[in-house]
Amino acid sequence: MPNKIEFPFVDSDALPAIPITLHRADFSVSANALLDTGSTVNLLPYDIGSQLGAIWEEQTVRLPLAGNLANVEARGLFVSIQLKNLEPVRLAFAWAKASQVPLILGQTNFFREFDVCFRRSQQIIEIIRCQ
Amino acid sequence: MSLSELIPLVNNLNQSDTVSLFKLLAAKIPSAELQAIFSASEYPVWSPYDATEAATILMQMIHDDPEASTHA
Repeated sequence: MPNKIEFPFVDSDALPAIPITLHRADFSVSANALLDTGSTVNLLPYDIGSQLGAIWEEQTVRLPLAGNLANVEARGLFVSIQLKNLEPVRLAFAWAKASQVPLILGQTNFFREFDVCFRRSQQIIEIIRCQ
Repeated sequence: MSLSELIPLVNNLNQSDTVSLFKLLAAKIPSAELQAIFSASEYPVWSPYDATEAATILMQMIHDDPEASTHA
């Protein structure tokens, strides 16, 4: 199983978003996720969590968010993500009770599990699974 | 005269004098800056920057979960 993959920047002005597949129980969803080094947490929009079969009332860990999301209720949810042919990794997400927010991969805990190199000049995002 | 002293005087101007004052002030501001002032909008930034408490709680969740990765 490889531990390093590369994604292209969509275009020269694009933010670093990558296609991922999210898995939970028997459900899976494909989506584009923003690699956001300035985000303290992974963020999961409400509709994606629902599509993964999560029940809001069953998630008991309440998470206070900040900034524009300060008024958005969020709860902790474990979801596995898969990047291309890398082995799936179980991540903890702040599942927001709002669907108009982006899917974000942030410091806790995506960037603890993966090293990421943004090579903007070469239009490449390199992602390495931490051993 | 300070700005705090000036504001009550400006508030007492009639509409015609207010427009004249505006034109006078606008002429003193560089056009690029003026354009920035009047085109300013609110742009939502959804990134949960500085949500440290949420991060701490998520880390605790990861520590308490036997299936979670070992990089926590």
